[in-house]
Amino acid sequence: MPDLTPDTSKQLSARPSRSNRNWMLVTGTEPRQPNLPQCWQDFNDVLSAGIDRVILYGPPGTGKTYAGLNLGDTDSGSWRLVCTEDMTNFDVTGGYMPDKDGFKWSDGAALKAWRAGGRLVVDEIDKAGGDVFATLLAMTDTVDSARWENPTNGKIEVPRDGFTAIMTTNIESMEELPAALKDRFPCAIRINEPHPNALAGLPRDLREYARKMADAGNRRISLRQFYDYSKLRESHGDERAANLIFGDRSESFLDAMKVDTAW
Amino acid sequence: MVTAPRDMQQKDLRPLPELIRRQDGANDEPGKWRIDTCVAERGAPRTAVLHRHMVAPVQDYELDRVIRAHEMMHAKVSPGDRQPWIDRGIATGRALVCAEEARVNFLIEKAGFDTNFLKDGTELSAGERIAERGDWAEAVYFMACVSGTGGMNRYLTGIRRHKRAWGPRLRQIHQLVQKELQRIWREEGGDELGSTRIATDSSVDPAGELITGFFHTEAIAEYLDRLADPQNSEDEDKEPEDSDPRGGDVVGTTRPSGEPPLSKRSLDGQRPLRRSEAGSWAQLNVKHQNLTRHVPGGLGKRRIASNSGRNPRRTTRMITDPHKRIFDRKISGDGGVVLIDHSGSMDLSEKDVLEIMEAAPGCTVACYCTHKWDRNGRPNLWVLGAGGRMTTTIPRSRGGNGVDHPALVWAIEQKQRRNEPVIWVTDGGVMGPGQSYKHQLAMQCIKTVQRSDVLIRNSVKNAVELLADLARRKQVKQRWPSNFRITYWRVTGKRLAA
Repeated sequence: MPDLTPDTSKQLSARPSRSNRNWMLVTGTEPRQPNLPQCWQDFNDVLSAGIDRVILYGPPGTGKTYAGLNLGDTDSGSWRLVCTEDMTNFDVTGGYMPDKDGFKWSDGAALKAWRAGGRLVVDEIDKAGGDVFATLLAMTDTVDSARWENPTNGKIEVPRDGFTAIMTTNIESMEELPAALKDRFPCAIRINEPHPNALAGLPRDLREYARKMADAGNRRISLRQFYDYSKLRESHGDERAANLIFGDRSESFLDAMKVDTAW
Repeated sequence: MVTAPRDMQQKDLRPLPELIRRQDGANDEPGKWRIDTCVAERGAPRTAVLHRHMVAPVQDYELDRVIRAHEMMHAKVSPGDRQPWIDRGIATGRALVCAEEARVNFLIEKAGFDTNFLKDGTELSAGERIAERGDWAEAVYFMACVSGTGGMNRYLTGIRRHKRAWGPRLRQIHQLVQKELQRIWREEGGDELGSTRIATDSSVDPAGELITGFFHTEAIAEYLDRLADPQNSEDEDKEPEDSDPRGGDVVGTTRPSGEPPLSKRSLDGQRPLRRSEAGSWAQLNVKHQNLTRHVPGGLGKRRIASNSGRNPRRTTRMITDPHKRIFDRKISGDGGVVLIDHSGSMDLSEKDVLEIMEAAPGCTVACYCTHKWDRNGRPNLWVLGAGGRMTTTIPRSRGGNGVDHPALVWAIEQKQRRNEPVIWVTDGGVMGPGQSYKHQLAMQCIKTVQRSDVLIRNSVKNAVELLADLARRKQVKQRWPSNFRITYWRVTGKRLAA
């Protein structure tokens, strides 16, 4: 299974790594992929058209974060922020850290993305606290309005050309997001199935199941479960693998497979 | 082995239809199904593919498990919408439901589930109730529902309690249905029997709404309909005096009490049609031509003597008529409907229409032909004469037949009175647009002709003679085209009675 959760605040190389080589990087000049699911085609089209503020929402495990970090023009790098209720603005803009000479300023993920003209990916935006949320709104504002005063030298900083922001969330209705955020991110795409390239690592017979189960509400079976199931069944057989991965739903899962593959 | 409740583990046994793959796109989009629970009894579980809703029992018993597999198989192979199939009119809705049960049960057994567990204890009472009422049709349909399941023997036991002689015949029907399913599985494969591929590649489904596998269900359903209503296929058992005045063949047979309405010989002769014999009709589009020409004789109204009235016009009858019918009463002509196959194999002129209308004043005359699906509304049936007026413009033939059966149904619907004759001028070469002659479509026409007492003639000249005979109250006979005779013989093993 490709690594769908790269390290936080780690700048990714634009060149695909071994784990992300399957993903097609969108530069805006690629022809339309004929079999790309609609949601991913929408995302490609939006990035190709130069939209620089996008919200990706939908069920977990469909590769929203990975797409944010890798798809489109990420030559200048991508930085990731995972929002929690306890996080502070330190993660966003930066803060002073103690060092041997006293305190030294350390840039946050948003500031790094600003300075590099890169991509800021904000995960779980709905879980951000009030302070952080307000700062994120300021940092992801339109280029003309975005301003930040550096406390170390009083200099006003603005985002460099090429700065883009992608937010992800698992909420199902955009109505639950604050109006100010929706206003800054008018383009929201519901990602309801994994990217075909993320499915490519699964055995052929499981790919379609993994695709269909990604958006099955509370009966969802995640892509990660399918990856583990495929590994386990090689050594322990279908039944044992299903028991270990799907637990009390193993019988339903196996019966469904039995019906589906009857001929 | 049945699990005792105390040994049951806490399991989430709700089925997972989300996993099911189909070729018609009905379950393609990732999305949640609504799963409701029910008791493990006949009639309670159900599946609605398009609404993504399944009702199934979820207890940890083998019966519940096989019922869940049954519902999952419906999600896998059954059409999302059955209405287009009912609209085709090849088989009745009840027969389609029962034949589909037989196909689904057959497929879950092939998937490795033990269908012997499929019995809920109601089969015995169902058999008793059906036999007690003497409902042979329902007995046949229900037989298909339980065919191949553990409840079949109990059902037959129930039947035998009231109709002992029905048992062997129903068991034979079960065997024939299973044999047909086995044949399809063996010769065409499960991929074909359970296919949900849209039949767009063939010439039978221009709308792209019919799935391939269900054609087999439709063929078995049509077969069940024939077995359930054997009156139309018991011709050769009839005595000559049973025949109706027109030489028709729709008369039931009298059987000894308790004997099934379907004889063994008749059952042996019947065979299900095959998918390759299925066809489709084009959409019927009716156009009323400008009826500018008045036909002498009008509606065929004439005066006859009557013994009541206001104006005594026949006073001489006071002496000559024992009933003293000195008044007049107006009666209208017999009228009727004449439907003409206007395909390339037939020909039609204005003179022909005039002759028909003169032979049967007040009748409706129409012709039909097409070689396209005509879903754009292009006319393929033209009304050439009605109400004592006729057109002077005969439409040019569009080549093929295309709408024989829909046109026939339309003609029957035009009857003003029950005893009005419907005459169909055809050579029997019925076929859908772009298709060859199909037994399924021909059988559909034959059944409708039998059911509605339609009289067939192969030329306008013969139809005019027939109308003249009918006007003289002469006894007339049915003249089946050779195509229909061959089809009927092949499908039912019997001859069409004249």
